[in-house]
Amino acid sequence: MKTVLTLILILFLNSNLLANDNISRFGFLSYSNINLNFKDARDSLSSWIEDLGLSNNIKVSVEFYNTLDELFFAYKNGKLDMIVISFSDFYKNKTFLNNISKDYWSATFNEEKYTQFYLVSLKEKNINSFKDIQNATLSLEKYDTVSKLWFDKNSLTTNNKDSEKILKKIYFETKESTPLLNVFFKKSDLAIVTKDSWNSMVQLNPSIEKKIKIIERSEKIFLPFIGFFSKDTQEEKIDIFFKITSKIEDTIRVEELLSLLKFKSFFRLEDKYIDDMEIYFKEYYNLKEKYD
Amino acid sequence: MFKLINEKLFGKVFVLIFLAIFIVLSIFTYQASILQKESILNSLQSESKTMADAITFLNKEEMIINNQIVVLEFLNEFLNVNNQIETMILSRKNGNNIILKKNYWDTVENKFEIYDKSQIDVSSYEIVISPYVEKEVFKYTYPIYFSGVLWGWLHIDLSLDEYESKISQMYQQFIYLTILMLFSSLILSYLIAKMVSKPIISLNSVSSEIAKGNLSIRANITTKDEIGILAKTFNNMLENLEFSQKELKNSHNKLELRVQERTKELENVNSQLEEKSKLLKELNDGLEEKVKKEILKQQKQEQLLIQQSKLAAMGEMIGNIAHQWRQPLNALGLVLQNIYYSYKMDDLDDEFMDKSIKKANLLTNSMSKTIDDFRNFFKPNKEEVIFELTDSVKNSITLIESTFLHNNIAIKYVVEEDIKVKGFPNEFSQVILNILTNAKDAIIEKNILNGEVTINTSKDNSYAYVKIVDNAGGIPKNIIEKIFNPYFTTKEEGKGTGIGLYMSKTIIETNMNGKLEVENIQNGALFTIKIPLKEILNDK
Repeated sequence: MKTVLTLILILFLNSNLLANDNISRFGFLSYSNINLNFKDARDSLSSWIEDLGLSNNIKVSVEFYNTLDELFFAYKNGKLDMIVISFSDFYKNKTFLNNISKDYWSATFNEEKYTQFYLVSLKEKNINSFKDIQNATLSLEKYDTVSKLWFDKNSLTTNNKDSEKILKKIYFETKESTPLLNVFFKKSDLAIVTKDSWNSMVQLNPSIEKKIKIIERSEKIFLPFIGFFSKDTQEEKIDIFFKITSKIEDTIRVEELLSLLKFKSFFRLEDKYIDDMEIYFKEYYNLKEKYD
Repeated sequence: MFKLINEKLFGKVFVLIFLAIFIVLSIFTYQASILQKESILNSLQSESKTMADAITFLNKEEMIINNQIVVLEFLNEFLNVNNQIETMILSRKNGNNIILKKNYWDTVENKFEIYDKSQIDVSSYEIVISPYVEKEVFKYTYPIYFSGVLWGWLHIDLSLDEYESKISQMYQQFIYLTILMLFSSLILSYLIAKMVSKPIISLNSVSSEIAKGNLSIRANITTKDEIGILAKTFNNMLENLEFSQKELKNSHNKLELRVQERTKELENVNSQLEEKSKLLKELNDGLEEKVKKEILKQQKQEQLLIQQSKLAAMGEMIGNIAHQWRQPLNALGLVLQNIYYSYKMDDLDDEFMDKSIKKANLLTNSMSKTIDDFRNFFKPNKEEVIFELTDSVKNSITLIESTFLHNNIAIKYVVEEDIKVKGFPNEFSQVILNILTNAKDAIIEKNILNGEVTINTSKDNSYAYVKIVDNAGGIPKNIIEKIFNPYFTTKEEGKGTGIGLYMSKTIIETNMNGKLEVENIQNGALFTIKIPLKEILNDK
């Protein structure tokens, strides 16, 4: 999954400031094991968001939290107006979050709203399906819990076993491109990559396609992350947020932010967008419960 | 301005200065462009080296353990964030090569030769056409050392867009600068050329006006340099010239008046000349007759002169004879007186008479001889003969000696014997006699108490010399040049004819090829007679 899933992005508006001074404040919260690249760019990210707010007459404050518990605590206590988390974390805390949240949104990495995962292997390896993953080594992006969930579900379905019990070793890589390169340079037998990542890597080096084959393709139902506002957040502030994100292509600072996070665009999430994911997650947890 | 440019001198100076400035600026621009290019290349090299240092430093461990994945990802990201990089090749010694460019990477065994060539022990750079991006790039090759061991090379091909942009910008600046300097040069050249040539052109203009005759014009140049001084001098010269011209005009006018006057005078003269010519013609018509008359008149005068000369000579001769005779006549008188007293005393005897007669005869013979001597002396020689110069001089002295003694004038002579000359001895003696007579007359006239005349004869290899010196005080300077002229005399009327020295000079110089000269010495006059020796004459 995208590096953004290693982050907890919280944008919160300071209602007091807004009410009194007609300005708002945005903030970010992250895990301690946040992606290095993002960590390097954290100051820039804060600066960009603050500048972006100022250009819309909003004062934005950016804050970072080290753990999910701290994040939820702050959100639950009304200190945060909005958080962004992975769909896995959302699904696990779905009941709690739905009770205090509204106005869900997400971002795309391409023209399509959903993300698709590929399971790839060297052509010279005799691995053609999930049936052949026994004792294989796998590389995937660290913290991409959704792709891991997809692999596990297929392993459970095909082999009736959790992947960690079948695979010889799993390499968690911090960079999105590393899993595929691990296969290319024969460090790993298998790799899970997003369709976007595969396409961009093949574009960079067409010989990848000659050496590596796609064994399985996931359903196109996955979202990279999910963001939502606290029910206590004023509608005016939410409107400002969606107003800004709706014209991101015209805003230089937002473009820079999206380039850093590799987003294509923001969009409001309606129920239908997450229904399939919810069903998929429900099936997975059922299978896991069944075989564990 | 264009009027000035048309002026030849201004044009030349302008073009010269403009070209000089333009050439200097061109050279400066050319040098500056080279330095600027080098500077930009050095900047690119420095940038490339910094990149290579950073890549090597950050991937040192991964390179050592040959973790190509991490290195590749790093290089890819590095390349993506550095738009300037066109291509990167990480070439491991004795290993494969990772080639990266925008939106492309690959691992290959071999790469293009231009990259292999630059894989040496030290870093290098050059501008080449990259076979990977097919355009010119700044290719920098960086050898990677770990613990002093060569690990491989990192080739970084930088885009030349910035370089070309800078170069383009530089050229643009140079163009602006060139245009600016061109205009500045034009203005500067114009000002300098104007400053240098304007005074000269002004002078030239003034000269042209002067050439047309306008002398009232002046050069209006007030500078203190050489041109200013020249203009000042020029103006002074013009003032002088104008003044001179005015003077000349006045002179011309005066001259015209003079010419008119002179013309009138000439006309008068002409008319007079015409009259004279008429008279001359009339004279010419009767000239022959007149000449004959004049010749006759001259002959008569000469006859008269000769007559006078003869009479004078005769007078001289008689005087000299009288002086010569004075002693024998006294002696004869004494003889006669002795005879008378002897007769009265009756002592007159035969013996006494014989003795007295002998004595008287002796005296009369002596007197007769004197006459003969004078007669011979004045008898002109008809033919040239060789004669002893000293004898001739002595003869002359003998003739005049008594006269000198009578006047208490001493004659000294120092003679050299055996001087033979050819000529007319009597005429020569007459010359000596003339000079001695003149000396005597001068001494008597000036009342010189111890009158003295010295005669010296001598000779050299060619000539005989007779020098006669007196102590009469010399000949006055104003007449010394005239004494040999005919009819010139300082003597009282009747005492001198004025032809003695004239005749003497004629005898010596015309008849005897000699020379008669006079000069004043300390106390008197020195007459020098110079006659060729007979040997010389014979040789001739």
